[in-house]
Amino acid sequence: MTNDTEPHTPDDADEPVATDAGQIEQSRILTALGMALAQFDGPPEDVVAVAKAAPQWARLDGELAGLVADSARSMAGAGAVRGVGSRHLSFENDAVSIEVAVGGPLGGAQRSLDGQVAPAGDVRLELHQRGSVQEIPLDELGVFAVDEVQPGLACFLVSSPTGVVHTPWFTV
Amino acid sequence: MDDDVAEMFARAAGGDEAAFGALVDRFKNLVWAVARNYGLFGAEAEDVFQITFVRLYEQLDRIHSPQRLAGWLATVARHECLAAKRKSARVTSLEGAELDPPAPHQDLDRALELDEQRSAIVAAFGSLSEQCQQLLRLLSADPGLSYDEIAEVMGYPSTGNIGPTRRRCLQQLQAHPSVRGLL
Repeated sequence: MTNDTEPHTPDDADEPVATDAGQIEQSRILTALGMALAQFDGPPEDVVAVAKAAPQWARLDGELAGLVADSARSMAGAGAVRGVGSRHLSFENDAVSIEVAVGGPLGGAQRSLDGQVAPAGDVRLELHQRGSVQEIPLDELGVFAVDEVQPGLACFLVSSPTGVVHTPWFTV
Repeated sequence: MDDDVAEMFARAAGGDEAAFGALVDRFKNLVWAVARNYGLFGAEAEDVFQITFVRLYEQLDRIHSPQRLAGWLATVARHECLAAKRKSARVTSLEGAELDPPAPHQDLDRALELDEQRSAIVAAFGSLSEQCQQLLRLLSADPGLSYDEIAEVMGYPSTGNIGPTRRRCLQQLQAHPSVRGLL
Protein backbone atom coordinates (compact mmCIF):
# COMPACT_ATOMS: atom_id res chain seq x y z
CA MET A 1 0.00 0.00 0.00
CA THR A 2 1.27 3.42 -0.80
CA ASN A 3 0.01 6.94 -0.44
CA ASP A 4 1.61 8.20 -3.60
CA THR A 5 -1.74 9.66 -4.54
CA GLU A 6 -2.03 11.50 -1.27
CA PRO A 7 -4.31 14.44 -1.90
CA HIS A 8 -3.13 18.01 -1.74
CA THR A 9 -5.26 21.07 -2.02
CA PRO A 10 -4.60 24.79 -2.16
CA ASP A 11 -5.72 24.93 1.46
CA ASP A 12 -2.34 23.57 2.42
CA ALA A 13 -0.77 26.76 1.14
CA ASP A 14 -2.01 28.60 4.21
CA GLU A 15 -0.31 26.21 6.58
CA PRO A 16 3.12 26.80 8.09
CA VAL A 17 5.79 25.42 5.79
CA ALA A 18 6.74 21.93 6.94
CA THR A 19 10.17 20.53 6.28
CA ASP A 20 10.59 17.94 3.57
CA ALA A 21 11.89 15.51 6.18
CA GLY A 22 8.83 16.10 8.34
CA GLN A 23 6.49 15.58 5.40
CA ILE A 24 8.25 12.38 4.41
CA GLU A 25 8.12 11.12 7.99
CA GLN A 26 4.39 11.86 8.23
CA SER A 27 3.74 10.15 4.91
CA ARG A 28 5.65 7.14 6.21
CA ILE A 29 3.63 6.89 9.38
CA LEU A 30 0.39 7.37 7.45
CA THR A 31 1.34 4.50 5.16
CA ALA A 32 2.28 2.33 8.15
CA LEU A 33 -1.03 3.20 9.82
CA GLY A 34 -2.96 2.23 6.70
CA MET A 35 -1.24 -1.14 6.60
CA ALA A 36 -1.76 -1.69 10.34
CA LEU A 37 -5.47 -0.85 10.15
CA ALA A 38 -5.92 -3.06 7.09
CA GLN A 39 -4.35 -5.96 9.01
CA PHE A 40 -5.94 -5.48 12.43
CA ASP A 41 -9.16 -3.64 11.68
CA GLY A 42 -9.94 -4.58 8.10
CA PRO A 43 -13.12 -6.20 6.81
CA PRO A 44 -13.47 -9.89 7.81
CA GLU A 45 -12.72 -12.33 5.00
CA ASP A 46 -16.23 -13.82 5.00
CA VAL A 47 -17.71 -10.34 4.63
CA VAL A 48 -15.45 -9.62 1.68
CA ALA A 49 -16.59 -12.93 0.17
CA VAL A 50 -20.22 -11.86 0.57
CA ALA A 51 -19.47 -8.57 -1.18
CA LYS A 52 -17.84 -10.45 -4.04
CA ALA A 53 -21.06 -12.47 -4.34
CA ALA A 54 -22.98 -9.29 -5.19
CA PRO A 55 -23.47 -10.41 -8.82
CA GLN A 56 -25.25 -13.53 -7.57
CA TRP A 57 -27.36 -11.52 -5.16
CA ALA A 58 -28.25 -8.94 -7.76
CA ARG A 59 -29.58 -11.67 -10.04
CA LEU A 60 -32.22 -12.60 -7.47
CA ASP A 61 -35.62 -11.13 -8.18
CA GLY A 62 -37.92 -9.86 -5.51
CA GLU A 63 -37.91 -7.78 -2.36
CA LEU A 64 -35.19 -7.93 0.27
CA ALA A 65 -35.93 -9.24 3.76
CA GLY A 66 -33.28 -7.72 5.99
CA LEU A 67 -31.34 -9.43 8.74
CA VAL A 68 -32.85 -8.13 11.98
CA ALA A 69 -31.14 -10.42 14.49
CA ASP A 70 -28.07 -12.64 14.53
CA SER A 71 -27.10 -14.42 17.71
CA ALA A 72 -23.52 -14.72 16.43
CA ARG A 73 -23.24 -10.94 16.73
CA SER A 74 -25.36 -10.49 19.82
CA MET A 75 -25.24 -12.29 23.11
CA ALA A 76 -28.97 -11.67 23.31
CA GLY A 77 -29.73 -14.25 20.66
CA ALA A 78 -32.95 -16.22 20.93
CA GLY A 79 -33.00 -19.81 22.08
CA ALA A 80 -31.67 -22.28 19.59
CA VAL A 81 -33.76 -25.13 18.31
CA ARG A 82 -30.99 -27.68 18.53
CA GLY A 83 -29.46 -26.48 21.74
CA VAL A 84 -26.12 -24.96 22.61
CA GLY A 85 -23.93 -24.19 19.63
CA SER A 86 -26.66 -23.16 17.21
CA ARG A 87 -26.76 -19.71 15.66
CA HIS A 88 -30.12 -18.00 15.39
CA LEU A 89 -30.93 -15.56 12.59
CA SER A 90 -34.08 -13.55 11.91
CA PHE A 91 -34.98 -11.95 8.58
CA GLU A 92 -38.05 -9.90 7.90
CA ASN A 93 -39.70 -7.30 5.75
CA ASP A 94 -43.30 -6.14 5.51
CA ALA A 95 -44.41 -9.33 3.76
CA VAL A 96 -42.55 -12.21 5.39
CA SER A 97 -40.35 -13.26 8.28
CA ILE A 98 -37.89 -16.14 8.46
CA GLU A 99 -36.46 -17.49 11.69
CA VAL A 100 -33.65 -20.01 11.36
CA ALA A 101 -31.23 -21.81 13.65
CA VAL A 102 -28.00 -22.90 12.03
CA GLY A 103 -26.63 -25.98 13.77
CA GLY A 104 -23.52 -28.04 13.42
CA PRO A 105 -21.09 -29.17 12.50
CA LEU A 106 -22.68 -32.42 13.67
CA GLY A 107 -19.97 -35.01 13.36
CA GLY A 108 -18.76 -33.38 10.17
CA ALA A 109 -18.47 -30.11 8.34
CA GLN A 110 -22.09 -29.94 7.25
CA ARG A 111 -24.70 -27.71 8.84
CA SER A 112 -28.35 -28.13 9.75
CA LEU A 113 -31.09 -25.51 9.36
CA ASP A 114 -34.22 -25.49 11.52
CA GLY A 115 -36.72 -22.69 11.30
CA GLN A 116 -40.04 -21.25 10.28
CA VAL A 117 -41.42 -19.00 7.56
CA ALA A 118 -44.37 -16.76 8.40
CA PRO A 119 -46.99 -16.36 7.22
CA ALA A 120 -47.34 -20.01 6.29
CA GLY A 121 -49.59 -21.30 3.52
CA ASP A 122 -48.94 -21.29 -0.20
CA VAL A 123 -45.24 -20.60 0.18
CA ARG A 124 -42.14 -22.06 -1.47
CA LEU A 125 -38.75 -21.78 0.25
CA GLU A 126 -35.43 -22.12 -1.58
CA LEU A 127 -31.91 -22.15 -0.18
CA HIS A 128 -29.44 -20.61 -2.63
CA GLN A 129 -25.75 -21.36 -2.24
CA ARG A 130 -22.83 -20.92 -4.58
CA GLY A 131 -23.78 -22.91 -7.64
CA SER A 132 -26.82 -24.67 -6.16
CA VAL A 133 -30.49 -24.13 -5.36
CA GLN A 134 -32.32 -26.42 -2.93
CA GLU A 135 -36.07 -26.38 -2.29
CA ILE A 136 -36.78 -26.83 1.41
CA PRO A 137 -40.02 -28.61 2.37
CA LEU A 138 -42.34 -26.67 4.70
CA ASP A 139 -45.12 -28.08 6.87
CA GLU A 140 -48.51 -26.42 7.24
CA LEU A 141 -47.10 -24.06 9.88
CA GLY A 142 -44.17 -23.05 7.69
CA VAL A 143 -41.72 -25.02 9.82
CA PHE A 144 -38.69 -26.56 8.13
CA ALA A 145 -35.72 -28.74 9.08
CA VAL A 146 -32.90 -29.61 6.72
CA ASP A 147 -29.60 -31.40 7.32
CA GLU A 148 -26.48 -31.73 5.21
CA VAL A 149 -26.19 -28.09 4.24
CA GLN A 150 -22.77 -27.23 2.90
CA PRO A 151 -21.01 -24.54 4.95
CA GLY A 152 -20.49 -21.22 3.20
CA LEU A 153 -22.53 -18.39 1.76
CA ALA A 154 -26.28 -18.86 1.56
CA CYS A 155 -29.51 -16.95 1.13
CA PHE A 156 -33.21 -17.82 1.29
CA LEU A 157 -35.74 -17.05 -1.41
CA VAL A 158 -39.42 -17.16 -0.48
CA SER A 159 -42.06 -17.30 -3.22
CA SER A 160 -45.75 -16.80 -2.49
CA PRO A 161 -48.78 -15.63 -4.49
CA THR A 162 -48.05 -12.10 -3.29
CA GLY A 163 -44.47 -12.00 -4.58
CA VAL A 164 -40.88 -13.06 -4.08
CA VAL A 165 -38.69 -12.14 -1.12
CA HIS A 166 -35.03 -12.97 -0.59
CA THR A 167 -32.63 -12.53 2.30
CA PRO A 168 -29.15 -11.04 2.15
CA TRP A 169 -26.29 -13.47 1.76
CA PHE A 170 -25.16 -14.89 5.09
CA THR A 171 -22.69 -17.55 6.14
CA VAL A 172 -23.71 -20.96 7.48
CA MET B 1 -7.14 5.89 -10.92
CA ASP B 2 -4.50 3.46 -12.08
CA ASP B 3 -4.80 1.50 -15.28
CA ASP B 4 -5.44 -1.74 -13.41
CA VAL B 5 -8.56 -0.34 -11.80
CA ALA B 6 -9.76 1.11 -15.11
CA GLU B 7 -9.35 -2.29 -16.71
CA MET B 8 -11.01 -4.09 -13.78
CA PHE B 9 -13.93 -1.69 -13.95
CA ALA B 10 -14.38 -2.13 -17.69
CA ARG B 11 -14.27 -5.91 -17.38
CA ALA B 12 -16.66 -5.92 -14.40
CA ALA B 13 -19.08 -3.67 -16.29
CA GLY B 14 -18.91 -6.21 -19.10
CA GLY B 15 -20.11 -8.97 -16.78
CA ASP B 16 -16.78 -10.42 -15.60
CA GLU B 17 -17.51 -11.47 -12.00
CA ALA B 18 -13.84 -12.18 -11.24
CA ALA B 19 -13.05 -8.58 -12.21
CA PHE B 20 -15.80 -7.41 -9.88
CA GLY B 21 -14.17 -9.46 -7.12
CA ALA B 22 -10.88 -7.74 -7.88
CA LEU B 23 -12.59 -4.35 -7.52
CA VAL B 24 -13.91 -5.43 -4.12
CA ASP B 25 -10.38 -6.36 -3.07
CA ARG B 26 -9.04 -3.04 -4.33
CA PHE B 27 -11.56 -0.87 -2.49
CA LYS B 28 -12.48 -3.02 0.53
CA ASN B 29 -10.28 -1.13 2.99
CA LEU B 30 -11.65 2.23 1.88
CA VAL B 31 -15.30 1.18 2.24
CA TRP B 32 -14.55 -0.47 5.57
CA ALA B 33 -12.81 2.69 6.75
CA VAL B 34 -15.91 4.76 6.02
CA ALA B 35 -18.14 2.30 7.89
CA ARG B 36 -15.79 2.23 10.88
CA ASN B 37 -15.61 6.03 10.81
CA TYR B 38 -19.31 6.18 11.46
CA GLY B 39 -18.82 4.16 14.63
CA LEU B 40 -20.24 1.02 13.08
CA PHE B 41 -18.81 -2.39 13.81
CA GLY B 42 -19.89 -6.01 13.67
CA ALA B 43 -23.08 -6.74 11.74
CA GLU B 44 -23.83 -3.07 11.05
CA ALA B 45 -20.45 -2.36 9.48
CA GLU B 46 -20.67 -5.61 7.56
CA ASP B 47 -24.12 -4.74 6.22
CA VAL B 48 -22.91 -1.33 5.04
CA PHE B 49 -19.90 -2.95 3.41
CA GLN B 50 -22.04 -5.57 1.70
CA ILE B 51 -24.75 -3.25 0.44
CA THR B 52 -22.21 -0.70 -0.83
CA PHE B 53 -20.70 -3.26 -3.16
CA VAL B 54 -24.14 -4.48 -4.22
CA ARG B 55 -24.95 -0.87 -5.15
CA LEU B 56 -21.70 -0.74 -7.12
CA TYR B 57 -22.61 -3.88 -9.02
CA GLU B 58 -26.10 -2.54 -9.73
CA GLN B 59 -24.70 0.76 -11.02
CA LEU B 60 -21.68 -0.49 -12.98
CA ASP B 61 -23.19 0.42 -16.33
CA ARG B 62 -24.32 3.82 -15.09
CA ILE B 63 -21.01 5.04 -13.65
CA HIS B 64 -19.49 7.23 -16.34
CA SER B 65 -16.46 8.41 -14.38
CA PRO B 66 -14.73 5.30 -13.05
CA GLN B 67 -11.73 7.48 -12.24
CA ARG B 68 -13.85 8.80 -9.37
CA LEU B 69 -14.79 5.34 -8.14
CA ALA B 70 -13.19 5.82 -4.73
CA GLY B 71 -15.28 8.94 -4.10
CA TRP B 72 -18.41 7.27 -5.44
CA LEU B 73 -17.98 4.29 -3.10
CA ALA B 74 -17.22 6.55 -0.14
CA THR B 75 -20.39 8.56 -0.80
CA VAL B 76 -22.58 5.46 -1.12
CA ALA B 77 -21.04 3.93 2.01
CA ARG B 78 -21.64 7.19 3.86
CA HIS B 79 -25.33 7.20 2.94
CA GLU B 80 -25.66 3.58 4.00
CA CYS B 81 -23.92 4.39 7.30
CA LEU B 82 -26.39 7.20 7.96
CA ALA B 83 -29.26 4.82 7.21
CA ALA B 84 -27.78 2.23 9.58
CA LYS B 85 -27.31 4.82 12.29
CA ARG B 86 -30.90 5.86 12.00
CA LYS B 87 -31.76 2.30 12.98
CA SER B 88 -29.31 2.15 15.82
CA ALA B 89 -27.73 4.71 18.09
CA ARG B 90 -24.83 2.41 18.81
CA VAL B 91 -21.53 4.21 18.49
CA THR B 92 -18.07 2.98 19.25
CA SER B 93 -14.49 3.62 18.33
CA LEU B 94 -11.67 1.25 17.66
CA GLU B 95 -10.98 1.09 21.37
CA GLY B 96 -12.84 -1.89 22.74
CA ALA B 97 -13.61 -3.39 19.37
CA GLU B 98 -12.49 -6.92 18.71
CA LEU B 99 -9.48 -7.05 16.45
CA ASP B 100 -9.13 -9.69 13.80
CA PRO B 101 -6.23 -12.07 14.25
CA PRO B 102 -3.22 -11.20 12.13
CA ALA B 103 -3.03 -12.81 8.73
CA PRO B 104 -0.58 -15.69 8.39
CA HIS B 105 2.82 -14.90 6.90
CA GLN B 106 5.45 -17.13 5.43
CA ASP B 107 8.40 -15.34 6.97
CA LEU B 108 7.54 -15.80 10.62
CA ASP B 109 10.27 -13.64 12.13
CA ARG B 110 9.54 -10.74 9.84
CA ALA B 111 5.83 -11.30 10.32
CA LEU B 112 6.16 -11.18 14.10
CA GLU B 113 8.20 -8.01 13.87
CA LEU B 114 5.64 -6.45 11.54
CA ASP B 115 2.76 -7.59 13.73
CA GLU B 116 4.43 -6.04 16.75
CA GLN B 117 4.96 -2.73 14.96
CA ARG B 118 1.46 -2.64 13.56
CA SER B 119 -0.10 -3.63 16.88
CA ALA B 120 1.74 -0.73 18.49
CA ILE B 121 0.49 1.66 15.81
CA VAL B 122 -3.09 0.44 16.20
CA ALA B 123 -2.84 0.77 19.98
CA ALA B 124 -1.59 4.34 19.62
CA PHE B 125 -4.28 5.07 17.05
CA GLY B 126 -6.92 3.87 19.53
CA SER B 127 -5.74 6.47 22.02
CA LEU B 128 -6.34 9.38 19.63
CA SER B 129 -9.45 11.53 19.68
CA GLU B 130 -12.44 10.34 17.67
CA GLN B 131 -11.88 13.18 15.19
CA CYS B 132 -8.25 12.17 14.66
CA GLN B 133 -9.18 8.50 14.28
CA GLN B 134 -11.81 9.34 11.68
CA LEU B 135 -9.56 11.61 9.65
CA LEU B 136 -6.47 9.39 9.75
CA ARG B 137 -8.51 6.32 8.89
CA LEU B 138 -9.65 7.99 5.68
CA LEU B 139 -6.26 9.52 4.89
CA SER B 140 -4.49 6.19 5.35
CA ALA B 141 -6.99 4.09 3.40
CA ASP B 142 -5.83 2.76 0.08
CA PRO B 143 -6.83 4.02 -2.45
CA GLY B 144 -6.88 7.54 -1.06
CA LEU B 145 -9.65 10.08 -1.31
CA SER B 146 -9.30 13.71 -2.35
CA TYR B 147 -9.67 16.36 0.33
CA ASP B 148 -13.05 17.28 -1.19
CA GLU B 149 -14.22 13.69 -0.84
CA ILE B 150 -12.88 13.45 2.71
CA ALA B 151 -14.67 16.67 3.64
CA GLU B 152 -17.92 15.22 2.32
CA VAL B 153 -17.53 11.94 4.19
CA MET B 154 -16.54 13.73 7.40
CA GLY B 155 -19.33 16.28 7.07
CA TYR B 156 -16.90 19.22 7.03
CA PRO B 157 -18.18 22.43 5.43
CA SER B 158 -14.84 22.88 3.60
CA THR B 159 -11.44 21.29 3.15
CA GLY B 160 -9.63 24.08 4.96
CA ASN B 161 -9.21 22.27 8.24
CA ILE B 162 -8.02 18.95 6.88
CA GLY B 163 -4.34 19.75 6.39
CA PRO B 164 -3.69 21.24 9.83
CA THR B 165 -5.74 18.55 11.57
CA ARG B 166 -3.89 15.85 9.64
CA ARG B 167 -0.54 17.20 10.80
CA ARG B 168 -1.66 17.58 14.42
CA CYS B 169 -3.12 14.07 14.57
CA LEU B 170 -0.04 12.51 13.01
CA GLN B 171 2.18 14.34 15.47
CA GLN B 172 0.11 12.88 18.32
CA LEU B 173 0.42 9.43 16.81
CA GLN B 174 4.18 9.80 16.40
CA ALA B 175 4.54 11.03 19.97
CA HIS B 176 2.69 8.07 21.47
CA PRO B 177 5.06 5.99 23.66
CA SER B 178 4.32 2.77 21.79
CA VAL B 179 5.15 4.33 18.42
CA ARG B 180 8.00 6.70 19.31
CA GLY B 181 11.23 5.33 17.89
CA LEU B 182 9.43 2.53 16.11
CA LEU B 183 9.30 4.04 12.65
